[in-house]
Amino acid sequence: MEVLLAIAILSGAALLAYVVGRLSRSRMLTGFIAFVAIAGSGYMVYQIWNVLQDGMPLGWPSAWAQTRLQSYLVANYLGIFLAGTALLLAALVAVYSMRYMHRRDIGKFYALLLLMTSGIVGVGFAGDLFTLYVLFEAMSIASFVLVAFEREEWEPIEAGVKYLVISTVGSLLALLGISIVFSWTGTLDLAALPSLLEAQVGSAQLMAVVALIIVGFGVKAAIVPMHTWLPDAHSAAPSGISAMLSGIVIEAGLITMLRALIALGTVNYGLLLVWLALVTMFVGNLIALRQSDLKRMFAYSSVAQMGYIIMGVGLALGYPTLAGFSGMRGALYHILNHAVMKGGAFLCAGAFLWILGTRDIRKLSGIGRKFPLMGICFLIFVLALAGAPPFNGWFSKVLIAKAGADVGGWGIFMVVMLVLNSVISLFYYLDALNTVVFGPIPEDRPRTLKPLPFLVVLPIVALAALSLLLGVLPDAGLVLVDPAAEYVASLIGGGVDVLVAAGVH
Amino acid sequence: MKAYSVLVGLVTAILTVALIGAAGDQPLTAVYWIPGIDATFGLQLTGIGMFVAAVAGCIGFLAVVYSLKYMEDLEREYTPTRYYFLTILFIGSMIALALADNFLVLYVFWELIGFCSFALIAYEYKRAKARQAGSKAFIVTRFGDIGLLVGIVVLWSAMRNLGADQPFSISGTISAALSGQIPLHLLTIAGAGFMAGAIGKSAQFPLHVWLPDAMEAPTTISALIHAATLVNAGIYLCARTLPMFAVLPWWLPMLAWVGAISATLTAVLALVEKDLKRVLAFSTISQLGYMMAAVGAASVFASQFHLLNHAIFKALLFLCAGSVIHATHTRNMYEMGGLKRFMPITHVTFLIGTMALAGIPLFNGFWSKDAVFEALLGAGQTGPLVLLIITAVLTAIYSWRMYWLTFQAESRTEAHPHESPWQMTLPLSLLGLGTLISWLYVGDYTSKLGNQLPYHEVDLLEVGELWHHTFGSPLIIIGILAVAIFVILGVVWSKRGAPVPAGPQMWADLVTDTKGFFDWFWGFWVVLMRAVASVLSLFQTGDLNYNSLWLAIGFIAVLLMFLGWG
Repeated sequence: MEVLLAIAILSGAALLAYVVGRLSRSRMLTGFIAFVAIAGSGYMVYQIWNVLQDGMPLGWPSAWAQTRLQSYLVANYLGIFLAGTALLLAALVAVYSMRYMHRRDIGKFYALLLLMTSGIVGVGFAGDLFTLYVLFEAMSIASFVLVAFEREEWEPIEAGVKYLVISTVGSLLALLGISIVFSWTGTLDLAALPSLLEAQVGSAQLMAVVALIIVGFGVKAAIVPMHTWLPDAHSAAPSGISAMLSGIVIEAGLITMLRALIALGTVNYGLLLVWLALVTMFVGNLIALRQSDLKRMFAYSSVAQMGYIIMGVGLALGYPTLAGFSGMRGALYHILNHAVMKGGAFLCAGAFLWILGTRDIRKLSGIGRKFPLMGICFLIFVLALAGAPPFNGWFSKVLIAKAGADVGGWGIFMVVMLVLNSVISLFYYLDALNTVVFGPIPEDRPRTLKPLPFLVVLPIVALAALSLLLGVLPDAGLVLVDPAAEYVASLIGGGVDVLVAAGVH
Repeated sequence: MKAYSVLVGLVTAILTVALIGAAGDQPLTAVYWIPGIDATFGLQLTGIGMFVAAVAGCIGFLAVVYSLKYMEDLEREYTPTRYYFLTILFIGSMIALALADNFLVLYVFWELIGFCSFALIAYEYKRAKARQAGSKAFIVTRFGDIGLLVGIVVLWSAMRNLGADQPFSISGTISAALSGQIPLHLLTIAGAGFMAGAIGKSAQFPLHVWLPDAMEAPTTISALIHAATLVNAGIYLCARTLPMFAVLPWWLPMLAWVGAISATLTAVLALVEKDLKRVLAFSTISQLGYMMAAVGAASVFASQFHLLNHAIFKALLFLCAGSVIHATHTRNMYEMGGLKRFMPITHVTFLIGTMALAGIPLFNGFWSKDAVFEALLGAGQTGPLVLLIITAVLTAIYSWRMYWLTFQAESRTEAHPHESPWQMTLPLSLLGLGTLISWLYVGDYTSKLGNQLPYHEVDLLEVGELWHHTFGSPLIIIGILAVAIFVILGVVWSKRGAPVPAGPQMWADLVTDTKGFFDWFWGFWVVLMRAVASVLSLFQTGDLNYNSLWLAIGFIAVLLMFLGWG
């Protein structure tokens, strides 16, 4: 029941937010409703956590209904991890948007934000491929509209259409894969599929299905070359939404893919993912070097960061006994860190956009000096993204690197490539830092700029503080990450007992 | 705020010195830091580490005192709070790095000093050159850190597979490596990686390009970077992990060669450099090369003793240079000259520093440099030894040239130089004294250097023995050579005037500006990277048709890869 409530509170509040927003036109009131709903969902997730800690299974609907409906939700640590991260970021974005958004149809905004969040929370808890797909689409559809939310301008519309078309093609590919599986087995239950599909192991059809799933959900997870929609969408969306898209939506796409892949069993797709990750991080980082638009730069850096995360996932899936746990741990921790640091970076870029009305890095020159608090936060996010201690990005990168070392051999080569990429990324991060914070203030800029509202500053500072906290005391994040990583590792055959015996845990 | 900084600096200096007295105790402290990966936050009082920490604490304190007056000019434009915050963080991180008992803590502080150096080099952020130099220092050192991080995770993984409770512990890893429990191929990767990290941080060939540019920092920061903190970290790391990697047959000779090549290359560059601070920067790389080579000769004593002495005389030279720049408002030595009349204290202390740098007998640099030669001779590393002897001659020439251009001969400056206030001359005098007498400390030094380092070999050496040893050895000829060079050049230059070139020095400037064309070498790769980026961004058309095409290509590629694996 709690699992359903965690999702339903958000969906229900979406309706309420729309009505209230329509009637009152108050940003504060609507935003407050959204915030309360997110907090309520967070409380439910906490309850799920408590039940799981007691070792009790939890799902919805009841076992009796499950066998007939074939569509159900089940509590698990991966879902808790995803929901926790998403709700944290969504709550801050809800607060941020209370003052940042200045449109009259604010009800729609919060309704869509809540719907998107409910989809993200849902994909972690889905018990079968059907539910997984439906919730994934709920997230996607809400995000299409949010990208094109400022519909008077051309850029968001163009970005939204591209995103819609590419994403839909991806979803259809994934749906095709799911249908094939259903035609074989007559069930979509994630838990039952691996044993039913064992007969298919190594068959060409199963490979085709895996390819459909990887490409289909890989569109959302921004794996190169399926990433082409991302830079437009992430830079054109309202900044709060950019933070959500980069911080958690693409990661939710990856987790959707991961859950589907685990159910498909033992084709060795881990190696494939590692190679795709390598391409993804190089392409993301290199193209980011060329960007003059701050939000576009962060968008490409998200592609690169997804490369790091997918590398961890790929190592875990490819070598479950060697790196099953350590790879997942690194990847999941990086998802958490990325939500904090990239979410913060986009909110920061949004604050600068709010002040000066531009995203051009050169035109933003010196703005971080004019607003020192924002400047410090920007510095923190940028250094965290570059993986410099004591800000949070470093620890998860070290964990992913550890997974490569656990694999050994060419895994170590992959680690070298990963760390090399984080040096390449330093080029554009430091360029941006040197311009946006330390650059000269242009002559033609007005002397007095409008002050930033408190509610815009607060979420940014909160994320910066969190970035520092997770960097100095990384154990705080492991509390959330480790159970999820153990859960995945046990599913892919690197069970916890195996890992303890191997001394990896 | 300034009083607070000085107080913190003083307490730190006293505490780090007190630590040396506390030698012989058990690990200081270890608290749980990241229980999830069995990482503790542990500090350990090893012999090598505590001296590096004491150097950072004491010289850092003197630099802070010196800053009080020196940084006044800049305070109108830049907030001093940022300066003192970063300086104290810098010193503190270096001390923590030196006392870390495990690799993870070491890595964190290693990166933190990288960040501090970036922020401090770019302290005068309104100058584009300073910003670029800061970024360059950060990027180049982090390029070396690729190796360090890879090495650390490889060792971590290996230790975890052994079932160690403390997978990051430095001494634990060393003992596992010595007992052959860590597979040799992993040790090879870690050894290469650690060496890369040390080469980056200690500005050795071929990653030496960032250090001369880092002269854009305020001079106090240069003194900190060169003497007290940043560059020592690489030497410290190599010396600390020496027993572990000495197992690898190529590791020690490679280190010796890297050090020797760096030393020679930069000594040549220092011969023709006109910027006072950049001469000192090149000399730092050169002297760090000696320390590297000494580690390569498996001599902890020679490398660390030279590190200590170098820290003292290089801090002295930098602070003197700061005093000179403060007075003349230029860094070009061709526009100085004749300063000995105006700045007597700076003059005398600078002369002492110069002699120590050149290895004139009885100054502290002489003793440790000789120890380096002895170590290389003893280890049979003839190639690096020959290079370093040539470097010693070059060092004597460029340091004498530097001194002569600045203080001797007629004045070529248009400013009205005057002696600096006591906040600046006091640190100079203390460091000058240290340069004269620090070698007398060798007995106590060697007895404490091996502390908590069961796998390092450090022989006890009393002052008398040092004296006997040094003057009884044929290598004393190098010291005599240095004196001879001083006398000959002194006579020549006092007759013909200071060696100021008549015309523009296009070639000399080109070679020194590019650090022996290595800027071009690395610049090529950066240009290549950006070119690849340009080509890649051509494929990101933003056109929906092409975007869809990529999706199709992606699907086909994934299918093909599956078929390829079968």
